[in-house]
Amino acid sequence: MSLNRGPQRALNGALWALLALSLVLAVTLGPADIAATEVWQTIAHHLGLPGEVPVTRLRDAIIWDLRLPRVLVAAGIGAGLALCGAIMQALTRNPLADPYLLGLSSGAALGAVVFLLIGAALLMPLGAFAGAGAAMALTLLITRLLGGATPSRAILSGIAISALMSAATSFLIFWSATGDSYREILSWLMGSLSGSGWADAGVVLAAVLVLGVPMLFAGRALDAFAFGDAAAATLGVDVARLRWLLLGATALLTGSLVAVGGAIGFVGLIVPHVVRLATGSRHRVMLPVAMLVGASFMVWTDTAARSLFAPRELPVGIITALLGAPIFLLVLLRYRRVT
Amino acid sequence: MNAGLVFSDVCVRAGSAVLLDGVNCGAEAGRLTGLIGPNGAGKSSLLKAALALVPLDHGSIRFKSVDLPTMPRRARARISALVEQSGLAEVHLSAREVVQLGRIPFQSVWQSAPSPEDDAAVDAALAAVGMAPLGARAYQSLSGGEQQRLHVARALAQEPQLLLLDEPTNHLDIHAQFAILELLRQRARAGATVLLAIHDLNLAASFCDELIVLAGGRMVAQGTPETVLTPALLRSVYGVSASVLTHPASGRPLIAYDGPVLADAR
Repeated sequence: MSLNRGPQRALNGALWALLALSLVLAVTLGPADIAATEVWQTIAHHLGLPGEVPVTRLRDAIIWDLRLPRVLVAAGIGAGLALCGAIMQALTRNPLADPYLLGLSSGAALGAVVFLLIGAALLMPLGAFAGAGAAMALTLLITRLLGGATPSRAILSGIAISALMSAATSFLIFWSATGDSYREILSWLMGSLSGSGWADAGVVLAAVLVLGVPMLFAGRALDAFAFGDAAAATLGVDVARLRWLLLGATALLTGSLVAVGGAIGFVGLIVPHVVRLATGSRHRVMLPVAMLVGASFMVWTDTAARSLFAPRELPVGIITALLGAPIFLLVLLRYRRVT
Repeated sequence: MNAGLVFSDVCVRAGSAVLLDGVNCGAEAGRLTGLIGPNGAGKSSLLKAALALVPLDHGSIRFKSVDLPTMPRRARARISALVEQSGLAEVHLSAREVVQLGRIPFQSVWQSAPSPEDDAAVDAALAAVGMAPLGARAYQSLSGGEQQRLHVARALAQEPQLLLLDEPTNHLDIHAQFAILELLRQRARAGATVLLAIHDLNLAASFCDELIVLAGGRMVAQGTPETVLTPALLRSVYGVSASVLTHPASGRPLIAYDGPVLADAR
């Protein structure tokens, strides 16, 4: 079930190639017909590289201003959610854990809805971020009041906070939302990347680089958790410090991703499970693979979301859930056979 | 006793409950030391306190003159290992990967794969518990006894000078129990300090060089099995009446139980 150094490198190389290919192909897909070479030329031009004279201004705008930032946002969100899911599953030793477990998504939703209803729709991402942060802080506070961060306590308080925040959101929508804002809220609650620009791409990629990549170095320490906190401690891991650091980092990262893309479900839950079937459970190997697979997965689901019923666009969260639920069941069956 | 593990006036509390109350005892390097006592006597707490898994209320625990609970974690993990009482764990690792966990204290965060020394230590540990052919098997597919041996192998992969084990012979058939205890005795003979909690008094008597008896969080007796395992002690600590015989072959104490002692007769 585990990979040695050689195959491990080959797998990572292949996944990077797949991601690069996915990014370019996803940019070419859409109502305006665009060739892969045009994509490369436009990117090279904007990066200041010498090369062919680029495409017309309109095509340049479609490639550079509309599609490219959107696929980058998708890739970043996919990578980040998959990483957060894998880390939460290891930390809580709960295979059902995902980034939204600790009340993050419902907190983000509440924050976003509040900002939308007070007429500050443009600041909605800020509200989502604040909401996710508040939910995480509340969950951790309650966990601490219960006597410390054990897996089950963190999950139980997360569920309680989640229920509370969802109730508040429903109340607000029921009380004051009208046609347009209702539609906007619904689309956000289901997760949608429509209208993502370079500012969004900047937020997502910066969050993944600054918060996500350092978490990869916790891989070995996460392995030590396989048989619980005490076993990890006797292997030299500062259990309490690592848990708070990683929970805090996943909360910030998830908050940033949710603020941009809305509550996209199932990616953080299923990608780590699928990847584990191929790489085994060693996190040092598994975490980078999960990020790469999550990125490609999200690029393609978002491409499907915007092109399946073009010109109408589906919230991408519907696609991830449609694909995610059956995949999750298959993974569970496969696990049963393996063990 | 400076060569080994020394508990001095160790007190551990959990809330208002006193788990350990002024325990003084020790385990010497080169000897297999058994920790015996009824359920709830504080055996697990004593082992955990040594590795700072439960905080000390009072007292000190030193290994080779170094204060163990206040040592830096990684440094402590390179000289000591603990085999816990096994519980149920849903772990999707291969047998070999479980043993590889024992190398974590020796690996840097930059290292992406096990080093040759790691592999050698893992191979040796798997071979020591007789599990070398099962390295590729999934942990979940192993029997309880095999899983238990794997945990011992994981601890051995840490190449510990101090090896603590909490009832490592639980769930094992009698042959496997002998195999584990013989392995631990060899480790002790090779210079390690080995302290294990164990319930089976006859096994303890036949393998351990030294026994520590705990009851109600206090140290009741320490000494060789011959001096410790007396009918009077079995009566007062365990509430059983027994005859202590001598094993015809090994000359070690052999306990023949007569039955429980009624509460008013104690």
